[in-house]
Amino acid sequence: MARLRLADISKTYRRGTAPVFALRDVTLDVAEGETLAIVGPSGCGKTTLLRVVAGLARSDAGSVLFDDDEVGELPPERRGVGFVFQHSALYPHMSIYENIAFGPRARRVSAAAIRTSVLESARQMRVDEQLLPHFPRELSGGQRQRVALARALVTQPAVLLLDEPLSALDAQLRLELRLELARIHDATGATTLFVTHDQSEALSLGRRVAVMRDGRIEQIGKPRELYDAPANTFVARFVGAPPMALFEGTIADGRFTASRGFSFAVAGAAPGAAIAGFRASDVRLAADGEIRGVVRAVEDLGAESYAYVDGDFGTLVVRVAQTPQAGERVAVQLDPTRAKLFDADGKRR
Amino acid sequence: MNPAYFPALRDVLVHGLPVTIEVSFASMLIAVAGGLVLGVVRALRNPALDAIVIAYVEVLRGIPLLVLMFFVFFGLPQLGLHFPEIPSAIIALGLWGAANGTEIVRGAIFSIASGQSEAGAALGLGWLQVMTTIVLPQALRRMIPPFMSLFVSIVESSSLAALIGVRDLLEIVRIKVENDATLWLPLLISILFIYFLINYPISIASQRLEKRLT
Repeated sequence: MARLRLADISKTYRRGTAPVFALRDVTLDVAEGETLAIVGPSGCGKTTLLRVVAGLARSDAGSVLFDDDEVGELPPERRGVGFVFQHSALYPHMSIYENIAFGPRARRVSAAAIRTSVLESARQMRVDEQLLPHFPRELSGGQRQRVALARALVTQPAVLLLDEPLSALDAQLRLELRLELARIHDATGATTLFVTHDQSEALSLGRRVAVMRDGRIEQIGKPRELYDAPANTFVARFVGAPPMALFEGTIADGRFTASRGFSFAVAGAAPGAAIAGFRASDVRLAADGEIRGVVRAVEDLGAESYAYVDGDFGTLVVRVAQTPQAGERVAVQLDPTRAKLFDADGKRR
Repeated sequence: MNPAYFPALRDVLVHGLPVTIEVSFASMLIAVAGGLVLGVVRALRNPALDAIVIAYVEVLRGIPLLVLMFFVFFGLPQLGLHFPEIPSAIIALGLWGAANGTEIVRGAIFSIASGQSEAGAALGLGWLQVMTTIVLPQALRRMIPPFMSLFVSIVESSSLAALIGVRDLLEIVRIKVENDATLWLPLLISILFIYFLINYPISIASQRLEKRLT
């Protein structure tokens, strides 16, 4: 296992005649044995970043370091990475055993040593030994991803790269394998880069999480830091569900006044244009609430329920204990101490 | 029944059939070997090599096969390259088959999902290893049905060789009817059956393989 460092990685490609910035000055430091999750909407560059680390794509600038070795110029086969793809990419013409044994065989290890490491790896991934003579098409999606993980880890790669390994699975299996991935990581101590578009997956698996947009890293931090102290409105809305509600307004004389409707006291905030954000858990329905609106929809998730309240201010999502009826007129009370304040351009104040 | 029919048919079978098979089979070998080499060259994605292979494929597929055969047999001698009838037919049919084979191989290689070769590269395999252990074993299965129909076309097109004097099924028939024109119909029907008997097993094999591999 190795420490992984990326410094100022940039990559541009052409779509038609216009240059598209796939990656812009991405800098990362992943400690040996750490899992860093990279999350962002589709097209944000997260998969491209993973491919640059693997050597499947070349960056235009910047360096990729495994421990102290620059690997940016090396072809993928000489980097020693394990890669798991969204659609397992198992070899359909080989048995499960041969699939897992593939990496060690390419390294010309003795047959006995190959057998030992394949069985060990299969056991670690909880791939049933009886499945080994079978072919990928006979396996379920979850089993296939376990095999893909075994194949990636059997060579003890310097860095394990996971490209949305769970997103092709159904919801229940996804949750099950998510816990498995955490267990596997604890067992192997692999330095891991985990790419996903699912923020809950990222928060659950990453010891730290990097949020990407338009080829840039917007913020890196522990899940709690991203949730409690988002660096900007993009991170604020991307991390946490339902997304944080944002209101434009101005701060003057110690009060935030929304451009439409309501105001509340903000202690010690510099005056000027600002954006205030509230999570669903920072607001509640109350008869004497300062904001009035109409319930557009109610989402009852069992453990918790959310009301979507429309008003002059836009839409506010409120976590509710007793579910109101759609169409009901309600009053909402904000908890000003929980407000997240941003500059007009979206940066955290 | 014309009493001359059976001796004539015997000559067609004894002299014509081996030649048709020889020309067809040799051309198939060239088509497969040439197609594999040029198809893999295309997979290298080298712009200069691509241009050469594309030019070869497009030229050979763009001219009538008969013109190509005439070119080899009547044209090349003026450049000092003399080939007898049968080798001329094999060269023309083989080069034409290799052009079509190239497209078959290229198509099959590119139909293998790119994730497959990337997974191989990430596991520590070089380009050649990825090609021989991952891509080609899978691509070969997908090449079988189109190659089978190319083989059928090659058998059919081998009859063009009669026009440069190759004594294949058709040419022996043409020789036999010179003395007795009433033999045209029975002998033509006979070789129709013979062509069918060569091609039908290829079609059946193709259908079987297609079923087994998909």
